[in-house]
This record gives sequence, structure tokens and C-alpha cells, in this order.
Amino acid sequence: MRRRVGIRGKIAAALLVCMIPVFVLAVVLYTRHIADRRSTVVRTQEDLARALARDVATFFANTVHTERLAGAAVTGQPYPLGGIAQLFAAIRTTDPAFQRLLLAAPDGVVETGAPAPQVSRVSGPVFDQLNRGASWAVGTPYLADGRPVVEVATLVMERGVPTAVIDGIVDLGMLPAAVPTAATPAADALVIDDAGSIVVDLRAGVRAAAPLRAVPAVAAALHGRSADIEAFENPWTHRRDIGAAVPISSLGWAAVVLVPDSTAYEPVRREALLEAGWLCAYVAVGLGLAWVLGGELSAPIQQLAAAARRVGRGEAGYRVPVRRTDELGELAVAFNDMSEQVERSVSETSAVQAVSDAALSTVRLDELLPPLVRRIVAALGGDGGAVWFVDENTGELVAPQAFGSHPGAARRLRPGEGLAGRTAQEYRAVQVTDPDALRAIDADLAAQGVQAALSVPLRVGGRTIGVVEVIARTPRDFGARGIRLLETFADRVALAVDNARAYERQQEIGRIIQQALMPAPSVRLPSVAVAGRYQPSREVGGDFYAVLPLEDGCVGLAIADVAGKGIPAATLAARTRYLLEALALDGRDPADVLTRLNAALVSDAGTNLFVSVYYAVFAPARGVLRSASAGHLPPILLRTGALAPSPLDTAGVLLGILPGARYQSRETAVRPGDVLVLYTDGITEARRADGELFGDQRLAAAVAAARDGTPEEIADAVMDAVAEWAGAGQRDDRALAVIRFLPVVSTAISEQREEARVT
Amino acid sequence: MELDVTVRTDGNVTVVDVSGEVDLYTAPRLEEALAKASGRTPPLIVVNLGRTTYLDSTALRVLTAVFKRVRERQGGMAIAEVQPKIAKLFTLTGLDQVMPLCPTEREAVDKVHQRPATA
Repeated sequence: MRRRVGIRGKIAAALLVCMIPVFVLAVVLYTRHIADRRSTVVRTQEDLARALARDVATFFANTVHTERLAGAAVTGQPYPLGGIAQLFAAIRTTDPAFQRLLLAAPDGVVETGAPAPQVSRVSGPVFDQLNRGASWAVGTPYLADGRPVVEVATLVMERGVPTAVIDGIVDLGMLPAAVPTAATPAADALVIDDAGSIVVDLRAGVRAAAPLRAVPAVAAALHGRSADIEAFENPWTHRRDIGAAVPISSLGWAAVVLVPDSTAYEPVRREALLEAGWLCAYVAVGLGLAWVLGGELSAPIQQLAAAARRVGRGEAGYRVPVRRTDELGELAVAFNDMSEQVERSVSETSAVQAVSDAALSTVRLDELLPPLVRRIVAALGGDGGAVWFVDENTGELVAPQAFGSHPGAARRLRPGEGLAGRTAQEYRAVQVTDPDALRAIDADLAAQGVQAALSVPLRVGGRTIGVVEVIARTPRDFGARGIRLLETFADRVALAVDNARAYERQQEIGRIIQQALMPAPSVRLPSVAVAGRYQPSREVGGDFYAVLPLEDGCVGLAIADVAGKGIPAATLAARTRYLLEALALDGRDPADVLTRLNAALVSDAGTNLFVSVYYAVFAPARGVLRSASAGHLPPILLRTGALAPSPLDTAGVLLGILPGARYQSRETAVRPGDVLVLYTDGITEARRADGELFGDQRLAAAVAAARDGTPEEIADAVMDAVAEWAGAGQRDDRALAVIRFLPVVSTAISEQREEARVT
Repeated sequence: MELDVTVRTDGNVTVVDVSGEVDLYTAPRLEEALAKASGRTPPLIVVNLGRTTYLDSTALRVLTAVFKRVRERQGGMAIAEVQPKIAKLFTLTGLDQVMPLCPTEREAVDKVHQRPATA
């Protein structure tokens, strides 16, 4: 499942959403702030322009004042003309802005001045203005010797009657020095006269000739109105300027301040950038916080998810580390608890399941119990366990199989005696949770260091067949849950145990029967030495071999194979054996024996078991072996001097099928030293892992290889070869009889009668 | 230890094809296949051993038991296409004297119709 948007993403998104109004507000404030800053910049220019205007006005005011004073000084009293000139010269020295200072009559006739007057009359627009009634007038600036000058004339009045005209030429180049405000370093401060020509460029200090009149703000200022210059393409600096134009109303001029746009707004921009930077930092910190917070949440959650997956995959009991005390820590603790529960549940279930599995198979008791008991002890958290069985005859509990640290028991328990006895008698679970109580019930267990125990009966069909005990070496309460678990376990085990015991009883019976059938592994008679080997398969079966001493020193040799397994086969084998013996002891011919045997067996209605028998009588006096077979594999005879054994082919129908079947005897000469090998198909049909059969050839080879040994050695060699061939699995009974014919000693014949048939 | 048992009919004769090995572990399947056939009235069975590679005593026991039952119910049973190795086993145990062994299935079917209760 792909995570679409994780916790981190969601927190980040939430944070961003919350920040939107802040963001919007910030943007609004930012723009307003910028606007404010911009207008501040503009106002600064206005202020500068105003200051400049004021300074210029002051300059001219001072000039006019100086002229008036000079006029007043020279007209108030008789003053020698030469003296006036000296006075004017002194004024010029004091105020170097005055290039010329003239005294004239009201009609304009020049009387004197400093420097010496060059003209005889004062005339022109300035004088005309005085004539029209102005008390002072300023002319249009012009260049003289490279310096900007302007005519300033003042009318001297005495009691309202003009008495003189003071006419001066003032050097405007001195203006910047007189005007203290050199403005800001970046600003251009200009004074524009009414003709729109630049009078004074405070920066350059030189008169320049470009008209600024086109600028609306300048035009407005020349008409007496302050105005802002918003964008001016400065032809001299080739930059965009902003500024302000302020009227110098007394002169009809304008003071203009220009500042490069970028410079003026430089601080504004810097501030704007800084503020934007702060905003971004704010957002980044916010997102960073979201990331960290999200991580704080999502990492432990992912860890828990991974842990849950592991438990789901079967790692029951997987724990997560608990490192927090908040809700996630709580979740981790709860998870661990749950995992522990799951683990316990799984182990309990598997313990009980193991019993069910075992109950389905017919496995031996000593293989069945140990793993089961260990598992249930572990699931209950105990230190050991034991399984007692009830002896059906006496009702006593037989000393148990003990597991783990259960001490076991040295003796049997009577019903009611000890913990197990009490449980068996009361037919229900008994729990002892502390050492004192245990001592009272079962001193033996307590003496061995057991401090708590839980014991339940194994019940089958209403009777107790045993007891399961789980012990602990520390005081313990197994709880209602533990008792229930052990009872469930016990019920299932009881069934399995009962089955296993029944099976073992059956096997035991079969083994008993089988043992009765077999002669001793070695039989020594005067005329033959016989070694027999029998290896039953898992279930009891129906192969047997027999060595029967008969009259006149003859020996009966038989091998038989009952098809099938279990008790029916074993009992049929027994019947066949005893019938055969009875018929043989009568001294009958093998064919006759088999015929009668068949007749006896075939009349058994409903039996689906058939027997193959090979029966031979060895007559040592004649050195002859007379034999007949009812469907059995032909024995092999290894003659002394022969390279390999050869089969004694015989044929005859299996016993028990064909009513009235008849059999044939054949005679074979045998000499001392010859070896006869009788076997059943478990030998030749033993399969190797790859499926190949052991076969006649290998049997013959094994016999030939061991031919010089005793019959026991030959028999063992064959059995070993087969065991090695087949490996672990054995499916069929393996029976083998190796007979060596001995040299005849006639006196021993009577001794043979004394030889009991050994069982 | 592979065994494949297929059952078909040729008229009212049940033909059981045995392919592979019949031993202790696989014999029950043969037994099962024959059990149904031998329950009919009358039971007419041909066991075709043409592709049988191995028979042991368990297999013989199964065949013999079925034969006995068939005989009791007045039916007929025959073995067809027995391979030489298997034939030897029948001879050794004398079962060739009990149940008819025929080289071809056709002959076996005919034989069965003749209801050979005893060989």
C-alpha cells in the first residue's frame, strides 16, 4: 500500500494553510511599507527642495538687505561720492558675491559705484520693475566671464519717496557656498529661473543650458506650486531620477532636487529584501518544524507498523523499544503487551495442536510423549513435567517419565497418595500454589525443591489412565487459564496415549507370538548346522523358519511367508507352523505335508491371507534333500566347489487358495559342506533409496563371498548386506536360514532325539 | 513406486489397466479399483498387466483375494498381457494354475465370459 501523503506531509500542509493568512497579511504590510518608504523618499526630496528654495530666497533676501543698508547709509546724510565708492568696495570685500554695486538716482543716472561704473544709466527689465513700483527686483541670470550672474536692484525710499537705486550684479556661482544645504551626496540640486534655464547646478556649480521646463513638476513649481517629480530621464547622468520641485516664490524661480531612482530607493529595496528574507525564513522554519514534528510522529508509527508486520508474519513476541512517555509510548507498551499475548497464545495453540497431530498417528509412546510434554511445560511457564500411567491391574500410578527439572519418583503411588494420586482419585485438576501446601499433599515433591505444581488426570472413556503433572520451582499460580490449557492438553494426550498403548499391547502380543515361532538363532544337529536370522518390520508380521529333527536322523527344514501384517498374520503363521510340525513329525513327504496343509488352510472361510511355504527333508544317510514349495521363492544351494549358488527351482500354488491343490517333491543330492539358504522376499525385494531391488544376484554374491565362514557368519553377512542396501527404511519382514550340511556321524543319530526343539 | 490404475468396460466386462509397480504402498489402489468391479453381479474382470513392471506378494494377495471373491459370486476373472518377469512370479506361486493368464486382452475377455470358476 503506497502511502499517499504521510504524516509529515499533512502537518506541513496544515502548517502552510495556517500560514496563509499570515502570509497574506505580511504581503499587504510589505507592500504598504514599501509604499510608505517610497513616499518617504519622495518627501525627502521635497524637503530638500524646500530647503534649497529657502536658502536661495534667503540669499537674495540678504542681497537685497545689504543693498538697502548700503543705500540707507549713503542717502541718509551727505556722503562724498568717493566715500560711497569706498563703502561699496568695502561691502564687496565683505560679501564677495557682489561683482558690482552701483548707486543711481531714481531716474537711473549712475552716480558712483564699485568697481568704477562702466555705464551711465541703469536700465533694463530690472529697472523697469522698480519703476513699476517693486521695491526690489531680480533680473534673469546670464553668464559673464564664465560665471552665472544676475542683476539685483533695490529702491531706496525715504518717507515713501524713492531717493536712490542700488543696483548690484551678484555672482550666482557663489550660491552653492552660500547655500549650506548641499543636499544629499547623491542628489542634484538645481535652481531654475523663470525662463526654465538652470541657474545653478549645486553639484556642478556651473550653469548648464538644458531646459527642464518640459517637466510638469518644474512648470508647476515655476508657477508657484510644489510638485513631485516621479520619473525624469536625466540627460546628463543618463539615469532615471526622481525628485521634487518647489517654487522660490519671491523670485518666481523653482528649486529642483533630483535623485537617481535606484539610489533613492536603495534603502527601500534593501529593507524590502530583508523583510522578504525574514518571511522566507519564517516559512522555512515553519516547514522545518513540520518536518521534525512529523518525523517525531511518523518514525515511531512506522516502527510500530513494521513490528506489527513482523508479528503478523509469525514472529510472535516481537517487542518494540519504549522510549517515550506520550501517547506513542502508550501505544508501544500496549503493542508489546499484545505481542506477548499473541506469543503466549501461539505457543499454547501449538502445544495443543501438537497433541492433535500426534493423536492422529500411531506412534510409539516413548516418541510421542517427550516433545508434547516439553511444549506444554513451556507454554505454562513451568520448570518440568511428568506423565504417570495407571497400572490397570492394581490401580496404582506407575513411576513416571519425567521431563525438565521434574524430579521424577522412585516408587509407585496408590490412589489418593501424593499429588498425582490425589488427582487420579479425584478425577479433576489439582493445583498447589505454595510450598507449604505442597508439602502437605506430596512431601516427596516438596523435598526435591518443587514449590508449586499443577496436575490433571488423563481421562479416556470415563476412566483415568494417567496423570500429567507440571511443576515449578518457585511459588506459582498457573491461573484458570493455565488449568484450562493443561486440561485441554491432557484430554487430547489421553486419547493419543491410549491409542499408542493399545498399539503397543498389540505389538507385544504379536512379538510374543512371533518369539514362539522362532527357533534359536543357531541350531546344531549332528547332520546340519543352521543359523537363522529374523528381522521383523515395524509391525509384527508372519515370516518364520523352522528346523525340525525327525526320525532316522532326518531333519525338516522350513521357511514360510504369510502375506500381511499384524496379529492376523502372526496367528496364521503360528497355525501354519504347528500344523506343519505335526504333519512333518509324522514323517510325511514334503509334497504330502503341503497338500494337507493347504487343505487345512483353504477351508478357512473369509480369510484373505495366504502363505508361501518351502519345506524340505534332509536325509543324511542318503545325502539327499527332498523338497516341495507352495509358492515360495526358490532357495539357493551353494555346492562346495561351485563358483556360485544356484536356485532350487520349485513350483506350487500358495497355500490356502486352491482347494485340492497338489504339490510335487523333488530330490536333490547334497554333500557335506554344501550350503542351503532359505529366505523370504523381504531379503531379495529390499529396496535401495533409488528403488532398485537387492535381488537374487546380490544374495548369491553375498553368500558366495562368505562361504568359508560358519552359517552364522554367512547369515550375518547377508543380513548386513541387505541392511546396508536398504538403509533406514524396511518394509517387509526379513527371514533367512543358512544350513550347512555336515559330514554324517552315524552314532549321533540317536542323540538327535534328545535334542529338544528349541524355542 | 508409481502406480496408475485405470478402469474401463468392454461390454459387461470390467477391464483394469495396471501401469507401474504394485507393492505394499500402491496395492491399496489396485484393491480399491478391483473392489468395485468385484461387487457387480456377476463380476467379470480382466486385469491387464501389460504395463506392470513389478508385483510383490502384497499384489498377489490382492489378486488372489479378488479372485476368491469373484469365484464365490459365480463370476470370472482373468489376467491379460503378463510380462515374462511377472509371469515367473505367477508360476512360482502356482497362481498360474489358479487364475487364467492370457497373452492378449481379447482372449482374456473371452475367457472371462466362459466363467472359469476353477482353472
